[in-house]
Order: sequence, then structure tokens, then C-alpha cells
Amino acid sequence: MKYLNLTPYHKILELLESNKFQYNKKITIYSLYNFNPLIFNKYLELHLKQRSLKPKILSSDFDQIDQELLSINNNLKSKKFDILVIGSDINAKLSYNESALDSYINSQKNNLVQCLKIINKSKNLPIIFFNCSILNAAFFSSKEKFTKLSKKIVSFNQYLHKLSLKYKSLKILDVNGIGNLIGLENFYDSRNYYISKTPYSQQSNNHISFELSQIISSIFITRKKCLVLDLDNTLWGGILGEDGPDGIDLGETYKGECFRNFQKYIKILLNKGIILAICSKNNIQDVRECFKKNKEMILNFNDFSSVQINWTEKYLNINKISEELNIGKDSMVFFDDSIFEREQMKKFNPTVNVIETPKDPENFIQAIENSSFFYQTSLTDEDKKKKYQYEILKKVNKFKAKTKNINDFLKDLSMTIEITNINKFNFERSVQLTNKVNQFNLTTKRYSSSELQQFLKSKNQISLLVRLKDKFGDHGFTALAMAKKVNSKTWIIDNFLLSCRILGRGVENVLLYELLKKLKKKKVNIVKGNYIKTKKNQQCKDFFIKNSFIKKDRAYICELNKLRKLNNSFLKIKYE
Amino acid sequence: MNKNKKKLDDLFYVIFKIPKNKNKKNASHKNVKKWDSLNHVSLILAIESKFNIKIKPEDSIELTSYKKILNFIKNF
Repeated sequence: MKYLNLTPYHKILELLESNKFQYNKKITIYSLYNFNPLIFNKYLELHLKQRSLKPKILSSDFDQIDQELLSINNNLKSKKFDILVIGSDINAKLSYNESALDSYINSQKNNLVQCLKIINKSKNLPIIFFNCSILNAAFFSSKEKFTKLSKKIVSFNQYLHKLSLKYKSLKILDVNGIGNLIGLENFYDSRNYYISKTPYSQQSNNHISFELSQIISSIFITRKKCLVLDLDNTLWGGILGEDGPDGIDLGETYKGECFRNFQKYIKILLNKGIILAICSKNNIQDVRECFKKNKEMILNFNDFSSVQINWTEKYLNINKISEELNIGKDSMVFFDDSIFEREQMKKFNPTVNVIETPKDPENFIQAIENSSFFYQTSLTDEDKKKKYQYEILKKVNKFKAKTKNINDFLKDLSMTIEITNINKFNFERSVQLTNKVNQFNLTTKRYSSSELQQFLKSKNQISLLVRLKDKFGDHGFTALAMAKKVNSKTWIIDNFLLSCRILGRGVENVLLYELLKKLKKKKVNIVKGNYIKTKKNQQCKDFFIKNSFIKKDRAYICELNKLRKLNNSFLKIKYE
Repeated sequence: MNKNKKKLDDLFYVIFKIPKNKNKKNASHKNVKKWDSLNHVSLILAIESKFNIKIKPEDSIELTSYKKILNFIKNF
């Protein structure tokens, strides 16, 4: 299987024209290239739209990177954009000697210096920078010269990589890696260069723009949370019920090795914080035995946070998984070798994401990678903890079933919440929360890093973040409230949300009360709240009414001089 | 011939936004507003991929009207 299917150029144009896309978010991309991005941008536009991003692409005239970066301060002010892309290709100028390479790398370093200035100035503007692609060896007379020049490129790329570790808003697009992947012969097309001043072939236009769209979507669209897997012919070859725990294909055979590698890959996803679930038509005893007895098994039965092994239809079972884990179905990805199950899922449970599973197990990993459902550029600590947290949640639910009275239950949890302002240590998590939370989210205002940064700059705002702990463990930062001044007497609640992991514990009421108390101290008279209805946030519809706000026109009003003390006997509050 | 015409009409629609069934006998870079140098490149590449042919740069410069392009494809 090819890494990525190449869509012919005319098809790209036709697909774009057909305009059959659904959009999740609009973004403006400001891009600087030293080649003509006409074709490249068409590919990019399609890839982004397929990821439900509606892009507006502003491109400078090509080969104007230095000039544009030098006047970037003005551009930052005059143009509004969400992301800056800087793509310079060494072969766009077709000059190959040591001094030309040196001066190319130097100019790249200058560009970087300008980038770092931008990063220092507006901290959260993401910048994507192309690394240095492979040299077009066809132009070299001697192997020695090629090797010598290539070394310089390698060390420059390492330097770029290190820099991106230091500066989180700098992301490096590995053009060099793409060159290695598809091969030099396929990478450049000198004819394209002469016609359109683009050094790349259609194939590399396709690949590079695909990677670029992947990085961009990882910044603006949150990744999926849960991977739901089938067992037979998905995690191993053969059918457990027929072949028995020792008869299944896993391990040393050709296919067996593919499946084992696939399990290794799943384990990596697990360690990145993806929650795993099983949805399989099997006998549960057989499956338990198999996980226990088969020595080639990489995954443990306990790696799966939710398990539905029975003979019920999968599109029904997935509802149970969603309930048990408290995850929306649109955050779940279904991976199953049977086309029948996949089609049923698409038909009866269309919000679940379904991956078109390839026929051969050697291509499974690539299929998941290409979907980009779990792609992310930087790992926050929260993600690593997340699997652990869903485990806690499961314990809580079991515990809930035992205790009868809800108040007793809440008391028994011995919950503590820590309230803190948004600061640089929890900033990333705050951005993530505004983008991820769907169910208990009153305004569903999504903030990009730079937008939140902007919000926090103002003196007339309060932003509170809540960390919840209970006897089962630490749930992490899971609730957020933001309010801002409207006028001297009135403030408005701009954002108020609670992660679904901690629903049903009264945290929301306490957080609101704490926020109102803070505002009262500031001598605010009136606090206004809005509930903006979405498909998913039905459950917090009456939140303000329950907390003694009065409905007025379309908003909810609270007069702070009438604020009553909240009866809270089960939550301890700490301020950090 | 008709098949070629239909394919080319598709391209003139997606690139220049000229309705597919409109008579384009006299369409050329002189009277089609959107036919600038950038879209010309786009057009050439799209013709290449749609008709699965390779056009030499020197030929591509000559292909400045609907008629010329149809003729070129016919004789390719």
C-alpha cells in the first residue's frame, strides 16, 4: 500500500469545487514560501477541508520570506491570522555548491531568528517551519560532494528539531523525511519548476501539504479520545472461538508478526493517553483466558478501560462503551476488520468515526496513522494521566451503584477542589479544556492559545481553574470559569465548563459560587450569564436557574447583593 | 472528440467558472477574465492530469484558447 494516495490535480480542483465539506472551525493561515505555492495551496486547501477546517490562505508573493519576516511586526498588526507557515525549499533555486548551501542555511537561520522574535512577542502564535529537504543528487558531479553537502543539511535539521523542543509554538515540518519516504526521483520535478516555479512533483505537493494539514489540525482540532477494537482478525489472526488461545495467529508467523506489531502500536497509543475499548462478538471467558495464556500477547486485558464482549450488535454495544466511559461517540474511533460491522456502525451510529481497515494486517498501523485521529504535536501531562483517570471514574461508578443516598455518596468521596488562576503552568490545559469540553459547557467558546492569551492580558477579567481530588485519586484540572467586565457594575460570564469526567458532584455549583463571591468583593452588582445551546450541552440548560439566577430577555441575571450562601457540605475548597 | 470537449468543459468550469454548457468556441486568455498566468499554469497541469498527457513547456505557452487546446489534445 502506498503511504498516501495521490489525488490527480484535476480531481483536487473538482473536489474543491464540489464543496461537500463540513466545517468545524475557520482558520486563517499566513504563509511565506520561496516557491510558487499555487498548486501546493490547492492540495493544502483540500486536505484541510477534509479535516473539517475551513482555511483562508494568505500567501505572500513567492520568494519574499526575508522581506516579509523583517516587516512581520507590521504584518502581525495589520493582518489577522491564526498560524504562520514558513516554507523554504533549498532546491527551489537550483544552486548546488558549498557556498550556496552555506548562504542558504544562513538565510534560514536569519529567518529563524525573526521567528523567535515573533514567538517572544506573541507567544502563542503557532509557526510551522519546513526543514531542509534532500539535495537533488542528479545535479551532482561527485558522490563526495553530495555526501559533504548532505551532512550540513542533516546537522541543520537537527538544530531545527532541538529548537522546536525548546519553543513549543515552533513546529517543524519534516520535508526531508518526506523526501526519504517517497524517494528523490519522485520528490522533485524540474519540469514543474520551469513551468510553475515549484520544485515539487505532484506527489510531494500532496505529501507535504498532507503533513502540513496534519500539524495544523493537531493545533486547532482536538484529537479523538478512545479507540474501540475488535479482536478476531484485528488484534490477532484467526478466530479465537474456533482456533483456541494457542491456535490464533500471533507472534512468529508472517501474519502473526504483523498482528503483534499492531498490538505494540496500540500500546504506544495507550501510553499517549488514548483510551482503549474492546467491542467483539466472542465468549468473554475465552477472551480472558486468551489474554492470560497466550505468551505472544503484547496488550493486557486490563489495558482496556471498557470491554463489551458478547453477541449483541456492535452499534448497540458502542453506546454502552460511550456511557461507561462518559465519552461522546464523536470522540470514539471504531476499528474492525469486518466490512459488515463497519457499514452497520456507519449506518446506525454515524457519529462514531470508522476507519477503513485494510485487508492485510501489515497496513493496519498506517491506516490509523493516516486517519490522524490520534495525531498530536505535543503531549501535555494531562493526557498521560487521562487513562488512569478514566479508570478512577469506573471505580466511582461501581461505588455509586453500591451507595444509596447521593449526598452520602458525595460526602464519602471526600472531595477537595483547588481553585487557581490560569497561569503559565496550566495554560495549555486551559486552552485544551475550552476546546474539548462539549457537554457541560455553557457558552462553548473555543479559545486558541493566542485568543486566551489575549483574554488573560486584560485586567478586567477573572479566570478560575479547578483541580479536583477525591478518595480515588487526582482528577486533574477539570473545570474552568472565565468572566469579564462589561461596565463598572456589570460583569459577564464568558466561559463556564466542566469536564464530563467530574459531572454529578456539585463542583459546578461551588465553582459558580466562588466566582460570584470574588466578583462581589470587586464591588460588582450584576453578573450576567448566557446559555448558548449546542447539540450536546442540553444538560446544563437550567444551570443558572438552579443557582438562583433570574432569566431576563435571553440572558440570566444575578444580583450580587442578594447572593445567598451555598449549602456545601461535601466539598473542601482550597485556593492556590 | 465530444468526450474531450466534455472533459475540457469540466476544467473550464472548475478553473474559470465558465458554465459547462456555455459555448466556448471563442474563449481565450484575452476574453476570459480569470485566465491569468497563474490560472494558466493551473489549467495546463489540470489538462495533463485529466487527459493523462505531458505537455512540453514550449507547447503550454501556445495553448491560449479553448479551440487551440481542443486541437492540441486531438492531435496528441
